Amino acid sequence: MSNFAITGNVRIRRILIRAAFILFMLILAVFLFFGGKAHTLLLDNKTIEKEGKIYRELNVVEVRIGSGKEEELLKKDRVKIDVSGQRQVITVTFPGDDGNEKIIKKTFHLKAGVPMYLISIPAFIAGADGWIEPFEPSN
Amino acid sequence: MLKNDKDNVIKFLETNLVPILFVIIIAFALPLSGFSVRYLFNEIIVRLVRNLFLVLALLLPIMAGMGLNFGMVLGAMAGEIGLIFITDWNITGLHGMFLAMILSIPLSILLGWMCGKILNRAKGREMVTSYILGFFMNGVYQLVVLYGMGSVIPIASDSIVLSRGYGIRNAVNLTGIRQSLDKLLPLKIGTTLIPVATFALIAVLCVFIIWFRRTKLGQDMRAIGQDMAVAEASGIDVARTRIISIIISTVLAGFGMVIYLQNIGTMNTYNSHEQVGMFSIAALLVGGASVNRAKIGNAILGVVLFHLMFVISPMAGKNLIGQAQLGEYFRVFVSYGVISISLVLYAIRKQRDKARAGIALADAQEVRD
Amino acid sequence: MKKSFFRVFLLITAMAVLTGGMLISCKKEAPKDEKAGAAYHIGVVTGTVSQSEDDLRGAERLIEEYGSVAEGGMIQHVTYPDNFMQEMETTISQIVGLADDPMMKAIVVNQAIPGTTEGFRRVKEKRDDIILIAGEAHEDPLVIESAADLAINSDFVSRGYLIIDTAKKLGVDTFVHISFPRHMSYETLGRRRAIFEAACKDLGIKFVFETAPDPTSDVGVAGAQQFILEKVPAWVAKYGKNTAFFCTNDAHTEPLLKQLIEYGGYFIEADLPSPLMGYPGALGIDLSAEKGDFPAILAKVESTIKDKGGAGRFGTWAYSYGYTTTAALGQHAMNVINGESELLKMSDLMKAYNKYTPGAKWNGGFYTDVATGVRANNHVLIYQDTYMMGKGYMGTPDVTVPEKYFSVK
Repeated sequence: MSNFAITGNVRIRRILIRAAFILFMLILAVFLFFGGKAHTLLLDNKTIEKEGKIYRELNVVEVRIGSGKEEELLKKDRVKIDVSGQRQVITVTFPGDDGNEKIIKKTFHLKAGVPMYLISIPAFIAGADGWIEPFEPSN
Repeated sequence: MLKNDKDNVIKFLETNLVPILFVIIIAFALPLSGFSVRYLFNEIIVRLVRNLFLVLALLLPIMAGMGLNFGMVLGAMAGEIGLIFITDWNITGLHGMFLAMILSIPLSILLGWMCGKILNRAKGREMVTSYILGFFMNGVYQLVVLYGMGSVIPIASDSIVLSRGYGIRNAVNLTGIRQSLDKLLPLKIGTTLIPVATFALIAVLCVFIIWFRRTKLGQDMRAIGQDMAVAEASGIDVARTRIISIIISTVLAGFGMVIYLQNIGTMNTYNSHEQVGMFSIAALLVGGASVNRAKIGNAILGVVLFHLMFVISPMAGKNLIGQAQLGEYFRVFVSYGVISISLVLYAIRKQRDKARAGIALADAQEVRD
Repeated sequence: MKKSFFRVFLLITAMAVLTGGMLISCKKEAPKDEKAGAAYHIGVVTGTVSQSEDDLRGAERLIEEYGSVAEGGMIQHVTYPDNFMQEMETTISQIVGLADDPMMKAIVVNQAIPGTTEGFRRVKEKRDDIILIAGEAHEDPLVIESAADLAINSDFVSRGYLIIDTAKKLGVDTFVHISFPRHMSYETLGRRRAIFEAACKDLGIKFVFETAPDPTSDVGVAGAQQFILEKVPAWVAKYGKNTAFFCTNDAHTEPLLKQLIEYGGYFIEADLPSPLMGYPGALGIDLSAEKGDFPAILAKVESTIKDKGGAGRFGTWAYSYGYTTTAALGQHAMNVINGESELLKMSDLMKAYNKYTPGAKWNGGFYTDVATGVRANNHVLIYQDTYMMGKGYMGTPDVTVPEKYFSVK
């Protein structure tokens, strides 16, 4: 295949293949960007007030993000966890009213532009909307 | 037949003099260093993981007859720029590592293309040209990273920008991606951790190189490596093929640098790349390669021998002479001495091969007479 | 045919390596029982004579006192490569190699060049019982703090003010800072320059930044020194004789001193001050007889300076920073292992320093990150009193550094 033999068809096919390759790389890059973006989650077990409602802290609660380590939070604990990726699963295990253990599992999404989130466990258990909020560290 | 065998032995000794010298020196120095076998084994594995990819990146230009590509430093710079960005964006783990590789590709291609263009104008003097080109690009790199980043190119992270507001700090901590590939598939043998995933990636590269040799482009490169004029006459676009070989080498060097730095975990922003070309080339030569002939086996053997020397000689020198710094000088002296020998031998061999070919030709003519 | 030869060769290599391995394992067992003298070992990593002689002499001082491991003592001394910026791998494996010794209890690296953090991390992964101490850390403060148990730097914050303050007291009206871009990418050096500039403004001194070639670049040490030799007379002519000069690179110091003695101008102290820093070469004096005896070295340097008419213009620290740091950190590590000291207690650290610097005063404090205001409890900044030759100590530890300079970026 010398240079003279390149007909229009071959040239178009070549351009198409290259374009497809570049597109694939771009898509992969975007996927890697969002998939690998690290976020810091602060798990908070404190009594908070939101929109007039009070969510009481729990005596003890176990929280797990994704397949990570299970964190045991006592009263007024705040734990810092680093995660990567936008889609995360939170699993909270706590003693219910009837004395049996209850488990709540929920999938949530993080925004790429927000490096740090505060998760209020009491609000999460009560099913309140604002259980996860962006957090600005003060320095 | 007997004569033939003897010739072969001599020829073998001749082509492999450098690795043999290295093995002899190491065999003497090993017991002197006093390191445990476990430690040495561990260290060899680490060095292979770190450097093999970079060394393999050198093979294609050798195949295309362009000698040892000192221009791989350019690829290393591209890889580092990719790493600076992913550190700034806080992309962690394998995602971060592969993203850094992808980011390095366009830059590597651009730099490789430029390098190839220049080398095409300096045929026959590729090595020294690419060496100096590395210095030149190092200046450009410093300008971009020290003054451009944070001012023209937005960098948000406080931990990598100097507190004056622009310029990247002299050491960037790669904690986010540190050993992410090495620890993906760890295999424990005794106390040594073998990073299977990294070796797998290196194996993929080896397969690629072997496959590439058989493609049309690979055949063209080999033809050019044999004789540029003949290749040109048979319709191969020599200039273009040479540029492609440099581009591929540069891109691979960028990948290699990312793998190297994910293992080390800290990046010396302004110096990490400087010695990469020199060390990779030295390792390849120590492995028995020459300016026009290099195999994957040379790369593996070379990394093992060259880096084993790095590990043991300071201690060996210290235990032999009694002073720590003399061990350090011992290493520099032995390593580079042997490399000089390999370059000199190459020149001698080339001349002798020419002479031999002449004699063979004369013999053939005599028979005919 | 050729291929099989290659295989045979590989086999031979493998066998050679294995035999070598056997040899060492046999050899290693034998002497170990003999050296029952030392209860533990301390690893010391320094530069070589050509890069940082003082640091190395400090290690030799420790060996003199406690013996080297090879002779049954406690100190295992190794060096890092001369061009350490490019050979980070070697630095890392030198540090990790020390941890291969089961009796190793502490590792002191002075200066803690790039690669130290990674070396420390690897040691920690294998042996978390080893105390890791970094002297004069080159890597970013936050980086080295994450891996070292204790990190020391010369107090670049306080000295940014104190050097200017001393210059003012000597009647200097211009301050020339000589450096180059790569050094300005060090947080410590870059920030000190900013503090110099701010202090100059406040004290009414003109601040000038001059660029000189980087000795680790293609021009090399010789080229960089040549540049300084040629430039200093012009600088002195331009800025006047009441000008103090300061350079961030050790290689620049010697030619700078040489020319300043001849053409006039002040030199408050070096980046890493020591009577041995630049002076012996610049003055052409032989100090081999006084090796390690700093009061004698200082006396000889001082008298030569006076003879050449430089009294009151040249300063240093009476005891070499590099020398005392290597020796004191080694001593401190031993004190900690012996249970006599606490690793992170300032007074205990000063006790180790004072052992090697009788008569000189030290001051210092913990490092505070300027971005977050967080004080690191394992990173200490120290400085010694400035000694002006022909004048005596300047009393810098007693000067209060105004609070505002601690937040200059």
